[in-house]
Amino acid sequence: MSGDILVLPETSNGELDAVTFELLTKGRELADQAGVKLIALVLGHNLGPSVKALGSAGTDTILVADHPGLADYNAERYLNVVSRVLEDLSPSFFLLGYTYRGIELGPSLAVRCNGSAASNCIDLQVADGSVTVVRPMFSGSVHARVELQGPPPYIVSFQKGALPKIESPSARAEVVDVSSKFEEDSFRTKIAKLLQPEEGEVDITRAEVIVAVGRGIGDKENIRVAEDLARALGGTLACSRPVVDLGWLPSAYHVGISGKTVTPKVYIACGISGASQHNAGITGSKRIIAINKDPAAPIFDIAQYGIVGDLFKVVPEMTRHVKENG
Amino acid sequence: MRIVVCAKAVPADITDLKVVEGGNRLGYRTYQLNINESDEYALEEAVALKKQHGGDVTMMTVGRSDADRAAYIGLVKGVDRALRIDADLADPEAVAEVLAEALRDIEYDLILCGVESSDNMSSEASISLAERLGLPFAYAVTRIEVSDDTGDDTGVVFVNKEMGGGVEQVVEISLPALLCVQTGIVPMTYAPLREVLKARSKPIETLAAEDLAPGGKTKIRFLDAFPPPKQNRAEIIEGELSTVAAIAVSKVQEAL
Repeated sequence: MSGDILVLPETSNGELDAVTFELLTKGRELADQAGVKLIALVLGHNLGPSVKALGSAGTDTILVADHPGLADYNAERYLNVVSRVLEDLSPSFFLLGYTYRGIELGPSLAVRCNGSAASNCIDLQVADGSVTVVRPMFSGSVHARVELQGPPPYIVSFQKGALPKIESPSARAEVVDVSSKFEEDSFRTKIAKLLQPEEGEVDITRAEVIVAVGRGIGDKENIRVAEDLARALGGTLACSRPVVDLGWLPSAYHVGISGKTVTPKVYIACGISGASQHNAGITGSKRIIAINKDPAAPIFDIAQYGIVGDLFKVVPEMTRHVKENG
Repeated sequence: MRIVVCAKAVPADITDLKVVEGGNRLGYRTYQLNINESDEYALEEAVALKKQHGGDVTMMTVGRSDADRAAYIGLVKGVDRALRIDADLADPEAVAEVLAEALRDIEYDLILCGVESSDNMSSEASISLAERLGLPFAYAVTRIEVSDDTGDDTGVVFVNKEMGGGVEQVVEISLPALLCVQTGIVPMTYAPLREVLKARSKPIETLAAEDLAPGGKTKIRFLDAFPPPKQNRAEIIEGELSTVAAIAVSKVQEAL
């Protein structure tokens, strides 16, 4: 495995997402271990700011595919470029985020380039020519260590926040224009428009106190239990994905990767088990308090305080205390 | 519209998890297998599209005979044909390979899958399947609108797909295509147990994985499976209900 290490930076709203720097940390480690180069491949249009931010983030080379045809993310168009770059470069590893993009690009590239995909990983190690990853399974109740026995390139996507982010400032990276790799083709997917989240009557992203409900709330009618506490605390109600899927609350209330990212002073999670997709949306909260029946619920890993118990007893009692003691 | 739904049967709860068959897969005990949640939404959406636009729905699953329960639920919910590829494959690439081979003999306009299985959690098999079949695809689809313009033989669908943070793309995709359906796309219906038991008299076609991909070999090896390390465990507030609630409220007020 003498190929270089290639990383796909993630951008959101034109800025580099934190997962980019996590991927670069692992990429740097692998590159130093093998004595090869760390290369970032950025795609899009008007990429100046991203390239500048990447310039001193520890990469040796930045490949830039800057083209109006790549302005909006479209898997078919991105694959058109990335598969060509992979063919030219024959990297040993291609690291991406387990994100909306990475989920689409990783497995397709593994088929196109005859490589090996591993997705939703939280660790990757190379020792004596053996490549192993650690990944969650069974709703996150198990971590499995898996050896990848297929051929390189190893196309590995990582869960956001799973890898440490170590600043490794470097001399400015060499920038190489690969925009010509993009070729207009008769693409079968066309982006018609972009829909921003609906501005509902609530804006949970600005709330200082959030009382959030999950599947454990059991029924739409029961939500008022949490709503009462939110009101008593002058806060806002919110929820995890299943509550929206079940039609119990509108999507404006949805916290998590597919919904809103919130940063309140206090986040009270009621009957939320704490799947990684939900937890990624609340890590910026100053204090997290969780109420759940299951002492093994992963929400207790991210909360500072926990109550193992019946939310239908605990939450109304909390509301009573707030009302009585002002 | 001819629709294929790929749905996986997954365990609800597992015990006695261990690496088996020299690392080919993980073995465990479970009470029964259910349809993976997002796959069940894909199934519901397929049946809803059939009701609107006509056509038929074929449900495919890869698993051993205990996965037939998923097929029976599918038949109760309105699937016309249920097909199981008999195999116990833990490598999503191997799953995609046998599905792709089986689909070479099936006509379809649209393949619907879910977004992620609760057991393997990799979201790989469906995208890999699309690539193997040379189909355009979209992941995390929250709405599917079939263009009623029948003047054009190829046909298109308009789909909403999540981009994260509540942002969605509306994408026009030409058929045939593969879509990974997000949970909540349509209301979930309930399959009464009595109906599911009755469906056991209906046929489920079975294909042997070995016939579809002879010598197919899994390219991953499980070395170990263990509980996730606990990190920053919350300080658990214990005691009488009233005390617990009072402390919890003080922890709220302290942070404001």
